[in-house]
This record gives sequence, C-alpha cells and structure tokens, in this order.
Amino acid sequence: MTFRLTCPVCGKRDVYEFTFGGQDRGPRPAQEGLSAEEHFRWVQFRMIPGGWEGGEGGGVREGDRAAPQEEWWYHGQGCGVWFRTTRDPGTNREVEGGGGG
Amino acid sequence: MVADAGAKTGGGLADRGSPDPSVGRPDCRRPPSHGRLPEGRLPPGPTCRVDLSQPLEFSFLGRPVTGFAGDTVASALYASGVRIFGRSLKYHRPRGLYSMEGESSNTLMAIDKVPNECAETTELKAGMSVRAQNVRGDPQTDRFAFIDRFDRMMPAGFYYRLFHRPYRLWPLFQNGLRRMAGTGVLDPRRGLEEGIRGEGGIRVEGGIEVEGARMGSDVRAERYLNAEVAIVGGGAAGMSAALAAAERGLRVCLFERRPWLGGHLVWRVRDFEGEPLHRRAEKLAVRLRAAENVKVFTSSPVTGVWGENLVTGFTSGAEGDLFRECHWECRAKTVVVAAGCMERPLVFNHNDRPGVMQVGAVWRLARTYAVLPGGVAIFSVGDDLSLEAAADLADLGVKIRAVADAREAVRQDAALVTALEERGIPVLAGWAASRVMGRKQVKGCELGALKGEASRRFGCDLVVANAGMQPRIGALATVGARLAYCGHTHTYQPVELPGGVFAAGSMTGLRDPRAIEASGRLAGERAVESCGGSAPGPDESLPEPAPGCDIRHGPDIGRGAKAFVDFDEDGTYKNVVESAAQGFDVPELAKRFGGFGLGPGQYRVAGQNLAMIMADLRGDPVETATPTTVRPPLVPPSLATLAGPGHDVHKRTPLHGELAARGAIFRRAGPWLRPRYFSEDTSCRKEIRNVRRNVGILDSSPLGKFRIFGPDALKALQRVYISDMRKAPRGHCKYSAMCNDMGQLVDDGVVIREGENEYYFTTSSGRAGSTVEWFRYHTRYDRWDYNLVNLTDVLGSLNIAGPNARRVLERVTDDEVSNEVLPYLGCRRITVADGVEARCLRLGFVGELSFELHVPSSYCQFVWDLVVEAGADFGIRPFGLEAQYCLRAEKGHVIIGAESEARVTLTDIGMGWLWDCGDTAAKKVGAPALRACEKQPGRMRLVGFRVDEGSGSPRDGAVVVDGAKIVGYVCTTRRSEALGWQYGMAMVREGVAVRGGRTHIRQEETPGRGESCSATVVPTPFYDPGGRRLRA
Amino acid sequence: MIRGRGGEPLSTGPGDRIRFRRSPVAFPATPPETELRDGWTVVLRYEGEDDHPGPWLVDLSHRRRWDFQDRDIGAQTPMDLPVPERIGAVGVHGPLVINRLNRTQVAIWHLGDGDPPSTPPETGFTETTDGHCMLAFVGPGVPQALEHLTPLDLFDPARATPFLTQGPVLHVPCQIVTFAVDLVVMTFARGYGETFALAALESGAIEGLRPGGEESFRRAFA
Repeated sequence: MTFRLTCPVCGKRDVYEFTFGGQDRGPRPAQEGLSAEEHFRWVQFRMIPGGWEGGEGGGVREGDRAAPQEEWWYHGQGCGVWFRTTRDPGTNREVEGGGGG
Repeated sequence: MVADAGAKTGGGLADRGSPDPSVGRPDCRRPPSHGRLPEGRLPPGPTCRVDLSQPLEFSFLGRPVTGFAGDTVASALYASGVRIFGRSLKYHRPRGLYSMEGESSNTLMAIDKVPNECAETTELKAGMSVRAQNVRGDPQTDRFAFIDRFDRMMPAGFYYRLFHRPYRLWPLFQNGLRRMAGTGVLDPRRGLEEGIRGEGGIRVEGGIEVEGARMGSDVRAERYLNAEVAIVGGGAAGMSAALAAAERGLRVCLFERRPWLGGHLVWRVRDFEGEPLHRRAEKLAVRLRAAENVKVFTSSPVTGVWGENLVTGFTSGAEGDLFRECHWECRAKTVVVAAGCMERPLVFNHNDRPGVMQVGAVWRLARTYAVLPGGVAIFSVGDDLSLEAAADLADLGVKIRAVADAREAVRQDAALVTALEERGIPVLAGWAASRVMGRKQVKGCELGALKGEASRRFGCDLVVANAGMQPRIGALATVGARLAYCGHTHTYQPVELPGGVFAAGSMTGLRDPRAIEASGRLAGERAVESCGGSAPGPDESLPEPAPGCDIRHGPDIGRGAKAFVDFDEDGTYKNVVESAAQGFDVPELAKRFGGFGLGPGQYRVAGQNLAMIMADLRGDPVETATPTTVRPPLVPPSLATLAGPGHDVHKRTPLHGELAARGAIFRRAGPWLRPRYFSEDTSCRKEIRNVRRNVGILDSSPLGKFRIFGPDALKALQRVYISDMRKAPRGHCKYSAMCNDMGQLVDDGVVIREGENEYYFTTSSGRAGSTVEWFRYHTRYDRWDYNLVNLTDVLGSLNIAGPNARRVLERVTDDEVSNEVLPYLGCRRITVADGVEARCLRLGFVGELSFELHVPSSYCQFVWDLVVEAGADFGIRPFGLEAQYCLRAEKGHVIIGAESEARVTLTDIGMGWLWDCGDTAAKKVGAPALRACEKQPGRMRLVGFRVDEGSGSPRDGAVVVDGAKIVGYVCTTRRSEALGWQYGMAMVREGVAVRGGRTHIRQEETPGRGESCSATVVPTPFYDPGGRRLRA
Repeated sequence: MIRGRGGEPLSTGPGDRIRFRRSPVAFPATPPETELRDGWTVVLRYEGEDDHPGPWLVDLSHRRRWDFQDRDIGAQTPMDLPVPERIGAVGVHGPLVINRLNRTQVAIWHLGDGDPPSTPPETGFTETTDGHCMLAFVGPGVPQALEHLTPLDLFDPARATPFLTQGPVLHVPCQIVTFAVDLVVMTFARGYGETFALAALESGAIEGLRPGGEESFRRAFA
C-alpha cells in the first residue's frame, strides 16, 4: 500500500511522512453541560455512510461503501503542519481538490 | 558507478546503473589465447558477449569447471557439458536450461552458499562455488528420483486432502515432505564467515553493537530516483521512448533487466534496411548514452509498478560496483512499459526433459555465449521469430531435422519459410511436438499434426519449443491496467491504462523493428504531453499487430506421460484436468488447489496456458480466458536486498562518547540510545547507594525541552495541561501532566513561566518528538497566536543528585544555589565556569537533593568534565536509567508506561490532585473523561506494597490474586537497600487497595509452574515519606 | 573556577581553560588542518582531499542558526533580512541565508565568511545552533550520493535554485536547501548527527562520498 498526500506547504509526498489525525469531527465541544455520552461520541465515533456510527440512523448496511471524507493529517517528517484533506478510503487516494486547508 | 559519478554537472545528472557492455565493450571476437576453440564453444560471432581469451575458473559440486568472462553460470555449465541443473520440487525429475531468462525454478542453484540464485541470469565470476538444489547427491543420480513413479499418489491438491488425519501425525508428514520437497537451504553462518567490517563497538543490552557493521562483499544499497518518465524495458521501443522524452528536456530513468540494452535485437544478425539488426540496436544505445537527462540502469529488473507511478526494482552489482544488489524506487510522473515479449511454453508430453528449451535460450546460447546448444534439433514453434532463429542456427552448424509450426501456412512469413526450405529443413505447418523420448536427456522427438492422426518420429538431442509469443504483462498488471484476451494476437493486451501509463513495443503485438521503434517514440511523446509538455508531432501510423498462435498443447496430450503446465510446482496437464473435475475450474481457484504459478515463475510460465486450457475444459470460448492475478515482485530480489543497508540511525546525547568510555551499557529508549547500567550488576546497587549517600550524575539529555511564547501561549498550556497553568509563578517549576481525550496520562513534566507570555517546559523523553504535534492538534480549530520551539536537542541535561549535590555545584558556579535562593522546585539561570549559561532546576525525581542543569548541547562535555572534576572529592559517579528507575520507584513516583497504561486514567494512579476540575472554559483535553471516570465504581487503583519477609520475590508483571481470581498486576517491584525490604507498585481492583491489606502475588514463569508470595499494601512514598531529603 | 573544600581554587581558572564546544559529528578521517573558533574545533581540510574529485560531506554544525517565528511574519525583517514571500523559498543575503518554513516561521543560517551576528533581542528569535547537526554535500556527484539517502526530489528542474525542501533523509526529518547541483546543505536534530553522518558516508561511498573540510564548502558557497 502506498499513496501520496498533498501537504499545503510541501506539496505531494509519500504517506509515510504523515501522521493520521482522524476524520474531521469539528471543534472540541463546550465542556459545560457536555454529557459523558456526547463526549465519547465526539472522541470515538466516526461518520459513516448513513450517519454516525452507532447513532440515529447509523450502522453499516449492505451496499454501503466508503465515501470520500474530510481528514486531518500532520506532516511530521516535513514542515510540521496539520492540514485537512478529502480522501476516499475506498481507493486511498485524495479526491480532486483535496489538500490545503 | 564511482568512475563516472559527476562526469557531467550542470543540468545533466546523467549516470548509469551499472556498466553496459554494449558500449565500449571489449572485442569479444578475439580467439582464445591458445588458438583452439574450447570444447562446446562456437567461433565467436559479431553478437558474442563472451571473451574466450579470458577463462574464469569456478566449481560445480566441488569439481573444477572453466567458463569465460561474459558467461552466465548457466551458459558456462552448459558449455562444459552439464545438462541436468537440478531436480523438480515434487517428482524429483531432472531439469535443465529452459528459457535462459530465469523464468522457472529449474535452474535455481546455490551459489557461494546463497540458495535460490538464478543460474541463467547470474553473471559468472571467478572462484564461484555452484551447487544444485533439491537433490540428494549428484543431480544425475538423485536418490529421490524414484518419486517420479508415484505420481498417482500425488494428484492435484494432495497436500490439502491427505496427511491431515490423524492430526497428531501431521508434524511427521510435514517434516518428511519438507526434506523431500523444497528448494534451497539457507546457511545461517554465511554472514559471519564473510567477516564484519568495522572496529570497536558500543555495548548494548545483549551484546556489542558494531559501528558501521557491513558485510564485506555483501553490501545491499538502496537508491531513490525522481523522474518525469520511467521506462520499463531497454529494447528498441524503450530506448526510442527515452530519446523522445529526453529530447524535450524531461528526466528519464530507463530500466533494463538484461546486462545490455537492445532487447531481442542484440543477438539477431538478420539484415534490415541495409544493416544487421544488432547494429541498429547498438546505434540506438549509443544515442541514448549520449542523451542528457537519461539515467540508464541495466541488470535492473522491475519488481512492480505501484500506485501513482512508483516503479520499484533492483540492480545487480557488476564488476567494480561497490554493492552486490541495490534496491531502487523511482517516483515518476509517467511510465512507459516496453517490456517486450517472452515465449509461451508449449505444453506437450515430457516437455520438461533436459534438452527441451525455448527458442530464445538456444539462440542466445549460440549467438550471445558462443555455446553450441546441440547437434541435432527439432523445432516446434508458433511465430516468425522462431523461424528466423531456426535458419540462423542452421547456419551456425546445428542440424535441424524439421520445424513444426503450430500456425496455418497462411500465417507464416513466406520469406522465412523459403529460407528454411533452401537450407533443406522441412517446415510442417499445423504440426506440433507431441512427445519427447529420453529420460535424463532428450534422445528423440515425435511430431504430430494438430488436425488428423499423422505423426513422425525423429532422433535428436535438442527440442526447441514454444507456443508463440506472450507479452510480459507484469508491469502493466501491477500498475492496474485492465487486460483482456485478444483473439487476433492470442495474447493479453491492455484495454484500459491508468493515468500516465503507456505501453509500447513488441508487447503490443508489433514485430517489425521500424514499427517497434515508432511505437516507442509515440509513447515517449505521449508521456511528454502527459507531463504538460508540447503536443506530439503528427501521428505516425503503426501497422496492425501480427496474428498470433492459439495452440493450447501438443497432440496426444497426457497419454501415459507427464506434460507440464508449471515446472516450479510440478503441475501437469492432468493436474489441471483433476482440478477442473473437482470444481476448481477457474484459473484463480486451480492456482490455489494445484499450485500452478505459485512458484518462482509465477504467472510467467503457467499463466496464459492455464487460462486457455481451463477455458477449453469448461467449454468456453478462449476469449473468456482470464489469467491469474499478477503479483509483485515480478522478479524476486533477495530478502537481504529488501532489508536494505540496515543503517541504525538513532539519537545520541552530547555525552554519548564519554558515557561509552565509562563503561555504560546502553539501551534504546525511543529514538535515543541511553545508558542503562554502568556495571554488569543489573541491580545497580553501587550506583543507587552512591546517589543516596554521596552524589551521582545522570545524563538526562533526552528529556523533552520546549519554549512556548506568544499572546495565546497560556491558552494553549491551559488546553493541554490538566492543571491550572495560570498559577505557574516565575522562577518556579510547576509540575503537571497531560491527558488524552480518554483521560489517560500521556505525559508529565514541569512548566516554568519565564516572562510575559513566555514559558519553558519539559516533557518525558518519549513524548518529546510528538509534543508540537500534540499542542497543534488540540488547538487546531482555535487560531491562537502562539509559537513553539523544540529545544530538546538544543539543550543537554545533567542531573546532579545526592546529599552532596549542592557542594559539587557550588564549585563550578559563582551564582548562589543555596536552599534559600534556589529551594525545592525552584529554577534560576546560572553561569557555569564564568561563561556557560545554564538553567538550573531543583527537582526531586530520585528523592534526593538534586539539580538539573540544562546547558547548550555543544558545551555538555565541557560542563560534565568540570562537574566530575569538582565532584571527585565527594565520590561523584555516573548512574544510569535502571538506577534512576529504582530510585524514583522508592519515592513512589510514576513513570508513564510503567505505572500507567492504556486503560488507566490520571485519577486511577492517584494523581487526580493535578486536575483543575473547576476550569471548564479552557476545554482541557481529558477533563470530560476524567469527570466521567472519577467516581466510576470498579476501577483499578495504583497502590504501593511491601513484600512480606521470607515470602519470595515477585517480579514486574506478576499477577495479584484473590484465590483463583486475578485482581491486579505488579507494575514495578525491586528490593531496596535503603529500605531493607522489597517494595513495589501494583494496579489492583477496588477492595484490594485497602491500606494494610494483605495481597497475594502469583508469579508464573512457565504456565502451571509458579510461586506465590504475600505482600502488604502500604502508603507511598516508601522512602523518605516526609520529603525532607529532596528539600534539603 | 573549580574550588577545593576550603574554597580555594582547585584547578586552573576559566581564563586558562578553554570552554570547548563539541560538534555532534566526528568523521572517521584525519584532519591535518583545523581552527579553533568560538570554542569549536573546525576542520578546514581532511587528509587526501585534494586528490579526490568529490563529493564531500562537510560538517557545518558550528555555523550559527536561528529560528524566528511571528504570526505576521511577512511584515517582519528579522536581522534586517526580507522574509521570502513564498513558503519553500530561500533568500541569500551576503553571509546570511533565510528559509521560509511555513506561514509563521523562518530559519536563518550564517553560512558566509566573517563573524556571525549576535542574537537580536526580539522575542521571536531562538538560537538553534546547538539543536541541529548541519551538513553540506559538496562537489560533483552530489545528486547521485543523495539518491541513496532520500526519496525527496531535491533537484526538481521545475524549481529555481536556491530552494527549500522539508522532509526525510535517512528517515530523519530535515530542512534541506538546494543551492546548486553540487551544493546542498541540510539541518536535522543534533542527536541524530553521529549515526546519520556514518550512514550517509556508508551509503554515499558507492558514489565516492568522503568527509570534507570547511574549505571545500566555502569554495562552493562563494
């Protein structure tokens, strides 16, 4: 398995230069009034086709396939910048317009 | 490669992979020095690459053999009369040369004790020791040869169906089969015998690590290439493509698996447009060598083409190269695949007998290696190139009794047929070989008509056979091209290519040399266009591909004889029929069931034949034949080459040399090499005692050290640290910890406020590398203005610890370091030796008065020398990680990873007091999880224990038990000289963690055999509970 | 000023004692010509250097370097140098080289002749001389030698020299400036210095890479 990612600073590089920062889940929720369940959902659960994993309307159904998703990556072996890119986990490739952000 | 390194500078970075004999090669037409032709050799012709005036002595099975410079191991052995090169995997049938391209395991041999070297492609070197594989004794008289007669006991997939019951007997069968089948044997002592270069070495746990350890003659290199165009194949098409791309200024890397450029033109003497074909190839090669921006790699097979056009392969080192094999990876924007063709093996009865060879093998033996391939030959072929070969070999003195051509007469090149008939060779169109006579060597051959019953027998010692040509689809298949069976060429052709990938040359079905070159140029121009260059010129029109040959197998197949589809795994035609009969009737299934194409030859020998035969057996049209998946490596490199040069690039502290000289025994800790002990005594009694009684010095340089500044620095600290960092006063070390989102402890250290919006902080050594990443990740949505500088390597760190620490320090600085000015957890900048600025931190990790000096790395040795000199009167001596580990454990200080793990939160290990739970606005990382787990029942807690006197001595990792139930585990336990008893820390379930409670610890070194001990839960710290010593 | 038990000077004072500094790198070669500079022993030339066409590996760890960060870096002129506009661009201004690392950060290297400047008082500056090992690859054959060490495209003809690349060499994150086809300078964490240099010399030996003194770098940089 080898694919490349587009670092907004350094350009296209081999994936092993990067650290995966997970799917984009939005900013850290406010702590005041945050229930434990809401917190763990934000930390652990992933968006999958059909909704949140384990959430309302979630769960993998037959015929579902991985869809392009927003992800965070860190260019640890290079410029040391966190960035967002859109990648299709089905092909491992960035989709058009991925990189930068 | 040294000689011409940098021969060109400026824009041209051209160089070469290894010497190419096609340019400036010695004149191989020189006669042998003694004037007479050696036995088995032909007079060297214009395409000969063997220098008969330069004999090379080597040995085969311990017997001396003579070859010549330019020979491969196989050509030299063949010339000296060797016909049986090894025995087959399952049936132990004798096997000989087949393709001269290393397509099957027939000629895998042990060369200089390295097993599975390909004799057909390995260049001969003087002094080589060559042995046959999978034989008992001599391959001529292999003692397991009788197995061939028991083939009925070994139908397709027999190893899946037999031997499995009773299960108990399986190891017996397995060992027996392993002895009889298999290929080479690895000699584990080989590397040692070669000798290890390098001197001295440093002591690491478990032995000596040699600096720069490299095997003398066995250097494995790696090389990374960047190019706009990578070209697979250095034939006429590949070279033309390279020239087309290089002329437009693109960087080109060309990879050719043979030691020379020119593909199949280099051994052809036929005239074409007024000059022999080999001259045409040589001229192209000279032009290519002169081109700017082209790197040519010969002896360099491609192992695969990967996603986004990464081409991988390896180069075999030639004479003068400083490596034995070099693995390379070429990142290219575009790839031109011009890999050429190989012959499709003809499946017929006893087609594996030594003496049955493909056309290319026979032709190259004669034309390239000046070896007489045989006296009397029969041809059974399926394309025009083979007819040309027959005529040429006849001219060289091989008597050809007949040429059977599986194609209809209308598909043959009439001129070539005439040429053969002029030489008195009958050409039988629509005929093919049906059977070979002879056991250890070919004695005769039967030809049969493909339609009808006619047949004829001939005596001969050579059968030259193929079923036409098939393209080398490996590189295209691995890069993800869609291939489909073409009913015209009867080969697999690409119908859809990934972006930036182009195919050219004879693999696309072209045969005319001019058309092959044109297709290469065209592919090169399309690659230029794909890289954003100018559009290619007017389309050169390429002729239609030549029609191919669709023969599946010879007449009378399988009747009382074995006809091999796959030589490596001894897969016969009958086995294919058996597989199909049992329902494994598609190639992918048959491959797993019968082993076709599982050997070193992979898809190359078995692939297309298996698919075509399977389609026939199912009754489907041949167009539906799908080959098995092609998998890399397309050509196997040795595992040592894949392992690479094996450099151990790790971090060393500024004091590494000093510590090594003082007898440190090192261990890897993350990227660092750190001293664990300073003597063979792994309990480190002397080191510990010296810290407790006098003063010790520890190199703690790997400690993470950072600067954070900017208007939002405090906000960032508040986010990642679990404590209230607003309370960090100036000149004071504030101890705190970082948690992750699950509330687990990930790091601890001190934070020092050094100015307005300016902080200095430390992290554990293991976290130093990911601290910036961590800060930035957890503030990535906030757009805060703060800056981080990693000072870990800028500053070394010396920890002077022990009751005499202050007295030592006072000798090397004029600054005040008294308890009043610099109390416990204080921090100030001092000047050492009137000139070196240092931060001095009063910390107490080991439980004694201690000063941590953070000094610029380049001065560390200087400061160390001073401190050690100043401390000589007090008995200062270095201590290592193990001593520090014990010293801190006596104080009950935790180490992340020792006393905490993935299930353990900050509160579980009793450090909840660090958590500023009131501040929710900072959104501290881990705070919501700590809130959720804080009062959760049933969590484990960290407790200290004292092992009861006389009850045994448990070790780290032993389990805490309540009857038969496991209720916890021991994190750390040591016997303490200072305390006089064995102490430890354990994670235990609630209820066990009652102070004064009795616990039972069970230790099992081997399952079922263990010892039990009892211990009492006691408060921590064990040593100096009041903390008076570290505040002294 | 090491003192004895009674407070009396124990050994020679700092005035007589050289406050020596150590580079992370010591090449396995004999230097016939060295120079003591600000505590560092700088090798000017190695034995047999004149008979070798190159390439050379030169230790420049003693050259002063700074990190400068600011949110609005484009508006700054650290050490009176203009900040390169594009990320990855490199400015050469007399003896000083300024590399634009990202949105908020530049690195400044003192590579030319003469005394290096002192660290300016602005908060944004951090002297990083001691934090890095700095190596130069000098002479003909540099691209080939580097091909054995890194997959990075350090000689992309589409980029105008000098230019900056941030990425792994021998799997160690590096800041690399390509000045010319025969001059590449890189920095990386000091701790890796010794084993990195050893591995570079071993792998580069295939292309003739050898230890070189500072003089060979000075000639190439000038």
